[in-house]
Amino acid sequence: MSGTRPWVTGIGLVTPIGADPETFWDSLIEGRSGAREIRSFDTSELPSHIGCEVEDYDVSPRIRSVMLGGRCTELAALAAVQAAERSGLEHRLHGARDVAVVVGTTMGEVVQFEQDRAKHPSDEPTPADIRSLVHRPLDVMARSIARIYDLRGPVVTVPAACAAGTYAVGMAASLVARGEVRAALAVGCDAFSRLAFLGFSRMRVMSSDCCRPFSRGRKGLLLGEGAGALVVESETSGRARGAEPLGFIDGFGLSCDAHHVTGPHPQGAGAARAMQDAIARARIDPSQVDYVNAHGTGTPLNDRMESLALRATFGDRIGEVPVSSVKALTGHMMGAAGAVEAVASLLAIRHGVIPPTWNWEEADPDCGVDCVPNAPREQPVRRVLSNSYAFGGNNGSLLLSTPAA
Amino acid sequence: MERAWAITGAGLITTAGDTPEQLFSRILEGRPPTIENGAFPSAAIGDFDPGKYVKRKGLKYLSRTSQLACAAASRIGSGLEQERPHEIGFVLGSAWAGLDTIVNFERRAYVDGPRFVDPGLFAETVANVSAGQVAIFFGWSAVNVTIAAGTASGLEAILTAIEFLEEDRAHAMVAGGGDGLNPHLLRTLHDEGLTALSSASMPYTEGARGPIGSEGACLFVVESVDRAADRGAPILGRVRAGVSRLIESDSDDGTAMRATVLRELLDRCGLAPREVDLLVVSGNGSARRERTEAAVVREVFGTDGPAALAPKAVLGETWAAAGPLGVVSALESMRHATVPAKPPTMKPRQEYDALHFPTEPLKRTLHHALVLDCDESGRFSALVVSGGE
Repeated sequence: MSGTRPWVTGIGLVTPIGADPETFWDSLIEGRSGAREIRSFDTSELPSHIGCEVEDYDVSPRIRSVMLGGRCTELAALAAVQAAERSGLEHRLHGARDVAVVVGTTMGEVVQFEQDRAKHPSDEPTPADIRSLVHRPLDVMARSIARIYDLRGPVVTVPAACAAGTYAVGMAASLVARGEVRAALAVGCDAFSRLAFLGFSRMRVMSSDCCRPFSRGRKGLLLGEGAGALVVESETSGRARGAEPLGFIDGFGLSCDAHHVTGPHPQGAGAARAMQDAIARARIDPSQVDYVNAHGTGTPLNDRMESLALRATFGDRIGEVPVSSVKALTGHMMGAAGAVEAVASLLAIRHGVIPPTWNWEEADPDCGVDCVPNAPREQPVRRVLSNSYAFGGNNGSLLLSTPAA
Repeated sequence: MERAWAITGAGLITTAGDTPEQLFSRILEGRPPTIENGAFPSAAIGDFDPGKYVKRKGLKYLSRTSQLACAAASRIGSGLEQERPHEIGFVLGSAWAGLDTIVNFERRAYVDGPRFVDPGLFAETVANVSAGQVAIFFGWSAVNVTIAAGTASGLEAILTAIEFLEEDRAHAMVAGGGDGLNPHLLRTLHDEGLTALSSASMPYTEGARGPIGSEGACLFVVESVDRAADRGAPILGRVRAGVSRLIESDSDDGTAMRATVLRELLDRCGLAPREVDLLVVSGNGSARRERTEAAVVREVFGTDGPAALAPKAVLGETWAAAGPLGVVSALESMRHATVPAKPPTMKPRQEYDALHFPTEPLKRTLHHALVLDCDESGRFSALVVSGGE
């Protein structure tokens, strides 16, 4: 991997708790939640009315002029442009043949369809309703981001549901590590979807008030939306232009449960394999992991499963590894989650602070992890494992390292 | 892609049969699919019964795409059942995965009320669930990834699978594409002017307006040549290299860019354009796609290029399955040392004279084939495959 070690040189995000890395980090440390009454659609017939939506935002005319989609595309583009600007690479992107775009999403651009359907809900869907779907709602975000910079490298869309952001970051890092591209824009994104809200609601995995990862009595997740973006660049390219790395992506672990389409493997076998794969690919020992940014959705099953997987990975040292979930504040941003949480992990490395698991109330014997409850913890953070799990049994873990490593 | 990658198994479900031999026989006949003429022509796999292929409860609750993918996976051969499933990965390309279910889910949420929608239906709205279902049925758990790239999805899935093999994420990968016939989407595509008007529509032929929408799934086992030899697996063909790029421009500049991408691909394979024996093209009746494809072929191969084959004349547009089915068509052509003749009703327009569709089967040795996909969004994909044993 000499010379092609994947550096992160730019980060960007749009989330319910901040639309830039500084605001986002302050919210994580101060415990500002993005949860509020849902405005996107009518929830009067639903058991829950709380979600984590992104506040109003502006899209510049220049970006809007090349957009092929709606809200999800806008969120993705805003995060991508922010990351590109912060990387200092923006002006070298135009027309580049050696820069890739890799986007992960769950639902993609489905919100326009939902809004069109809502105009005449009692009727059968019409071609006018479905028009937005035939323009390929899954890969329209990646194509739009490529258009912003006229990028001519690989343009990849990986719809890996709630692990999609992690898959996008990992696959972007792999493209760089293999030397196929000089840099890649990795983006995870999803807009607040009525369909997802209804689906999770009917699965009875939604909390009616707040999200309490790893806490006894946790009721479930809150749905969120947003986008996270990382500029992943080869070490050679970054050094040549004097870029300052925010961290390295040294491991990308993958696995599949092959067990159940929506439920996790009860023992967390697949999740453990993904973590162990990421650690092995980074060529480190589990004892060198300083912090785990958990998937931590706050559902009874997920947090129990992830705790078992963590124990399988770290063994008796499990109680010494800080583990926290930012979803208590952001909600579950689905396809965005993994990318945003990779950003949170890099910020933890930069600040030497572990963002806590807010809303935690009481220890759950099923979750025997140190979940850093309700208060940030200052400590050196050199290596972070960031986990994501999804429908389809898709598991992904990233191993992110300090730029000093 | 320095290492050599072997295709050691192929499983498919199409309107033209469920084996490579049946597919090739149909292509040799030049017989188009049976077309339903409702408001617009389309071609479904009429008697498709997933239970014929996969013995497992709950199949009927899966989306059509999931059913097709599972059925194709069951046909894959290669002795894969002797392998440890956790060392096998899976990549599925799909252009429309989940979208038909999304439409149905929304409809039921409004008709029955939001408290009564089926949570199982929700799962099938998520695009990667088809790949997850295959993993559950067959146990392939090393890696499980879905790729969305329109009609290039299947080719991109194969390229992604090879990347995973290069990274030693699996001993063998199963990869390809699949999409179920989707009446909602087809109807809307038709209203947008993006499907064929007539059941007689043929690629590259006067009067064609767009594709005849169809369905199918096609998957391959891909592994290193060395590993295939070690376990005695038959090598059906070799994947040399591939590429996929987004080039939106329809102008001469766009053609030049695609030509550069293609020449670089052939260079990576160590092939000169004259060494390509067969072009498998993606023309489906869509004018933009066909102009783009013919222009890049002319730019790279001139007007004296290799023989061409248009499987969509026989299969219709099978979306994500199309690229992998093009690969099967190429491998079967090589195995039979025959370039099939075009269907008699396919009459390529003069402007497409760089594409040489034979009017009679050509018997000749074929070593290398180039499988192309030029979709309407500007995505341009290509894969070079060479013959097997």
